[in-house]
Amino acid sequence: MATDVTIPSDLWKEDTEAVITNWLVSDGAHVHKGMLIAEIMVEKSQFEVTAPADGVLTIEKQADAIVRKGDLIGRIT
Amino acid sequence: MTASTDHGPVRELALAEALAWEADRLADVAAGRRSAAALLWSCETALVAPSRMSSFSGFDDACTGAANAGWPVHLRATGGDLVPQGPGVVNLTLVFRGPRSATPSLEAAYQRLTAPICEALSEAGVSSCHAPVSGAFCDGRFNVTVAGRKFAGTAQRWRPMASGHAVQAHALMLMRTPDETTITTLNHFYRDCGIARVIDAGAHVGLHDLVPTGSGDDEERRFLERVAAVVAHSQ
Repeated sequence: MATDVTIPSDLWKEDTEAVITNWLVSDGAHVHKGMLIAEIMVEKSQFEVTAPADGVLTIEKQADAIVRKGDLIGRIT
Repeated sequence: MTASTDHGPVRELALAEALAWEADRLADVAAGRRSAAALLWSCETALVAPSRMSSFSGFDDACTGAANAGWPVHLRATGGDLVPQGPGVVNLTLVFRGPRSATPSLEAAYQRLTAPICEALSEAGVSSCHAPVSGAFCDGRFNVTVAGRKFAGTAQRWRPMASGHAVQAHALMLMRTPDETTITTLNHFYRDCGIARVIDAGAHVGLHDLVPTGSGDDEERRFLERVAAVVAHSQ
């Protein structure tokens, strides 16, 4: 069963676009729940994205992609 | 607020030391070892870039060129863009635990960061607001501006905790209006990185150009003491 990695919907109030600035692990890497896996930036604020589950990460949106709150950016299986 | 020195409330640190202090305090708050920390600091002449900038193909050449001109380049963890550090710049870093019950808000964190700065400016008789400034370095909506010119720039880093977030908020305050050498260094760095961005010296203003001629050093000390006092009161 896959666990979605999504842009949290409660990090900022406004409907502002963000950008994925870094993936800190590679596509296909084994990750652990709570591990820092990506960074996104909005309004000059860098947010850390952590793995929501243990498993193998599939990156769905690459670095520099524009994202919004709730967007799917990866999957962990 | 961390202890002051004989230079007033500002700690003079090596830039690497200041960046390490920020990272350590963010880790402390995220781990629950402390609830908040604050530091007013200044450092040697350097450029500081967000880590994402290192992915540009010309980044290494740009770093070499800047270092040869006397501006070594460091990377930082917060968002934003390229900034100059050195004499004439004082930084305010706040690290705190974000709200647990309410929706976290980067806007609220920027307000918390800039309130002491705006209050200290007001006490010096200077009116300020938040606004972007075309041509300013590291431009953003939560700049502190005076008469349309950038006085302070801001950035943040948010780390999830088991409950809530740990927040690192940083403001770079201009005590002196950046000189042409500083602006030229920034523009050369962008050019060497292949980034189409031009910084305009006239988009910035330092405290010394906002207070009566001849009173700059005294006003700077009073201003920074006011900032420190407001921060200490709010921690």
